[in-house]
Amino acid sequence: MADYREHYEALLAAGGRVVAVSVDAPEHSEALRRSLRLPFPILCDTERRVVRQWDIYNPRERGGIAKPAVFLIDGDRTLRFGAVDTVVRRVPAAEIIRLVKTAAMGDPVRRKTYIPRWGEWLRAVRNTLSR
Amino acid sequence: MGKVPTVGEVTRDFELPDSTEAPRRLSELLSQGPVVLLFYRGHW
Repeated sequence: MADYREHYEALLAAGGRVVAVSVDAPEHSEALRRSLRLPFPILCDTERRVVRQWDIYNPRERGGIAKPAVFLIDGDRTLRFGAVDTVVRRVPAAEIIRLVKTAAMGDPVRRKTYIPRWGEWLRAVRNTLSR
Repeated sequence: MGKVPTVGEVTRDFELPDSTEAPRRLSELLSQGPVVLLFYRGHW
């Protein structure tokens, strides 16, 4: 999420915004938002309703938590991009910004899977391990 | 159990409280432009 904080201005300039979601209680999410100085809202799915609807619920860890995932949704609520719980889950914010630009311009949805380049893949693995 | 939305699909709307306990609806957040929805594991 710190990656998205660093790129937030560029993301706003591209016409997008960030919304984070976890199953944590509001007071814990607010503490995290303040400590990481996140400029975007954190939604609190304490009942695990939305994570179940989106099938990214992991019931086996810590009493049931969200799998890490990134979705880009355009103004018509159409999904533009999604990555769930794989190495690709650490999609660089810069790549998302590029996709936000096309979504904000109203370009038609391209059914293209994101395949990270080797350098990005390595960075993704490093980011994941250093969390 | 639901399913992970696929590219091109219209996602289901939802409403959740934010960390200040204010209700937030996906469709309202989208009225200002595309949204990057980040699900994360959480700390507690």
